[in-house]
Amino acid sequence: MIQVLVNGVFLGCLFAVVAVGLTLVYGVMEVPNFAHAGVIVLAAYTTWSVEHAGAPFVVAALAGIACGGAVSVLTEVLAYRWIITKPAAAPAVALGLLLILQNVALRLYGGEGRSLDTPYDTVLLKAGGVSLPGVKAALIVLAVLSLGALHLLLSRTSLGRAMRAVAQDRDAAAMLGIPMRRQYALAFLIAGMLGGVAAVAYAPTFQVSPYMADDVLLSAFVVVVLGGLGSVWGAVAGGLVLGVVEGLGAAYVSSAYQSAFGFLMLVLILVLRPGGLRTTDARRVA
Amino acid sequence: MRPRTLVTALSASALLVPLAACGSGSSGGDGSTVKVGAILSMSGIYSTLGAPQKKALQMGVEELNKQGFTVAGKKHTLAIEYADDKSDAATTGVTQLRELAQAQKLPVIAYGNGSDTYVPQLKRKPVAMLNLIDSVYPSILRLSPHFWRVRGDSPTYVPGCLYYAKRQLGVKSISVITAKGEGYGEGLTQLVDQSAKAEGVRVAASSQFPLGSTDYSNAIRAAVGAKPDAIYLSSVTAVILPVLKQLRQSGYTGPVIHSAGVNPNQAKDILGAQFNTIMKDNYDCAGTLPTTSDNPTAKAFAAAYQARYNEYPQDLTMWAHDFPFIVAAAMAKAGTTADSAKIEKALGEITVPQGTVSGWLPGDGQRLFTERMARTASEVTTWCSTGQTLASVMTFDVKNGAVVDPVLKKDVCK
Repeated sequence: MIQVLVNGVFLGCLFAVVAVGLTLVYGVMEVPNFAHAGVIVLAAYTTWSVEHAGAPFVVAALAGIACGGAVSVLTEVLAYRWIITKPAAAPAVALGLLLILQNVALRLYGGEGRSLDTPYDTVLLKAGGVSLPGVKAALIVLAVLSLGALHLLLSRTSLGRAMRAVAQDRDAAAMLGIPMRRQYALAFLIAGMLGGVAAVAYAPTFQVSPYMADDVLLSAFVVVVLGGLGSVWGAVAGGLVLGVVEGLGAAYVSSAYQSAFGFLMLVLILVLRPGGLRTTDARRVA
Repeated sequence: MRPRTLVTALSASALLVPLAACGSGSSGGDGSTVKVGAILSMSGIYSTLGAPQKKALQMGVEELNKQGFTVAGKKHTLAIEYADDKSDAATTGVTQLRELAQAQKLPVIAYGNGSDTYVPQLKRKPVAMLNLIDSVYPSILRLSPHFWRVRGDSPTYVPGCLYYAKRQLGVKSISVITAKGEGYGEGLTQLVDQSAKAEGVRVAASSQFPLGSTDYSNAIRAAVGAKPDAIYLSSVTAVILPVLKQLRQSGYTGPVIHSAGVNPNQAKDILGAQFNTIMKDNYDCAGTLPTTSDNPTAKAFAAAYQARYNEYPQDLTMWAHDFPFIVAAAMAKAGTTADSAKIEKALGEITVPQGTVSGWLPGDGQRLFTERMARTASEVTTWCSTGQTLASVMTFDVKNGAVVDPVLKKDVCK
């Protein structure tokens, strides 16, 4: 049972890091950012390339996270910014961007899987009959650190307060003189960097490939809806709940339908609490 | 003739000449170069299969064309029209099939993936299609009478896994991890269950994970928790290698068996720096590899392929290499280079063609195809850590679901 919960927490942390990036962008710009999966892919390939060129893993990881941020901002500057007054176009643009980013990766690196090596690949933590591979422990640590940093940014800095203001009421924020475009770019930058963290953290347990983030993105969207659209802490709670529910379902019903348990829970939550775990009348990012 | 009429006539001729040339060339009836088709995944996620298939086909065509082949007294050479299904047989592949079979009227087509998606088009325009890789169980041959397979299917090699595991590894119980929703893997699991029953090996646990998932810890926990003597991974290379990686990361050190045809290049790419450790105690039962085959022509092909392309030749490369020779033999037997129905009938009658390298096992009457399937010997390979490569530990054949003629090899990694 404890082993199942530990696995669930690992999955939950992964979902949370990806989902917070999605919900941040949704909160500020109301865009369902499917292209986030493409950002994760390019961040993972950048990490792989830099490491493959001989750089230490930490340097490669930082390069990957920076790439995630840069690509994410590019999607906002080159695409989303131009459709902000046409929200109905956002899903189509997001899907188009996803295809472009994945095919860029496919073109540059081919379809074969690549391994991202870390210094802790062979580490196995054991305590009281529960084991946790080093790569999974690292993901949990990275998730806690990055989400903690995000919390501080949103709650303790003027940048964060401005972002929350934009999320709550764009028109009012603009009237107060908050530079909107900078806030949009900032939201995409943070989301992209979180995508980079996710890529660096979970690629070592899986593989780097153009389609590596599709499944995770789907789960992350479930988390976003579960947690309440635009709610950062709802996404964190939703991620952990989804991870644990999937783990328990897989352990006690069937691992073949692991993803289905998440969707089942989504339906239940939507029936019982249509606004998600953290209901809010306004969009928000905290 | 008035200038305007002359211009019109010349324009019409200019249009008709290439069309006529195109028509005769594509039907393969011009007495010199015969054209056939190949729909391969040369880009996209399955380009790991399509690209080496194309390379091997090119080698086969070059080899065949050194001598050419004779049909109804006329000497011919062969050319292949390659089409990329972009790893999407259902849309791009079907369009390519329509183009090759219906528009260009090519009499024979080689292909890799997507058999089920081609069936409706084959009903509209029948053409002989030779599959170079798909050994899924139940067989693709049940889908259409126009499918032929240039390789043995899963039942010709899976029984060898359990046979070897029981007798050489002392395995009494086995856990199976399957990619749910992946046809090849699900078929393998059925066959492993049957073979385990036949061999008296207990299936300790059978767990699954959804295809496309990135974390397999729940399936792994169920499989390892049953404390089996070995674990069988049911799926294709791109899926099982990440599972294998997580399996080793979870602390499991026992034998791992699969039928994925993993080669050293793939192991290194997908498993990374630890690949040699992760691949330890790994057993792969499938068709013979050209590198590990006892057949000297297969070995020579493997050396030539490696020298030319600087990559490890997968098993599918030798089957692809032989495709042009098989087509040429069928055309010679049929006495036509254009009539697909006659060529297809001849496929069922030809013996193993000269020039092939795969070491085909002929069936009744020395025929290459038995019930539309040509096959080579099967083998179990093991990972040799010292050489960081594969070595054959047992070759065998399967008849009526049971291993026959097993040849065990010792000290293969030395």
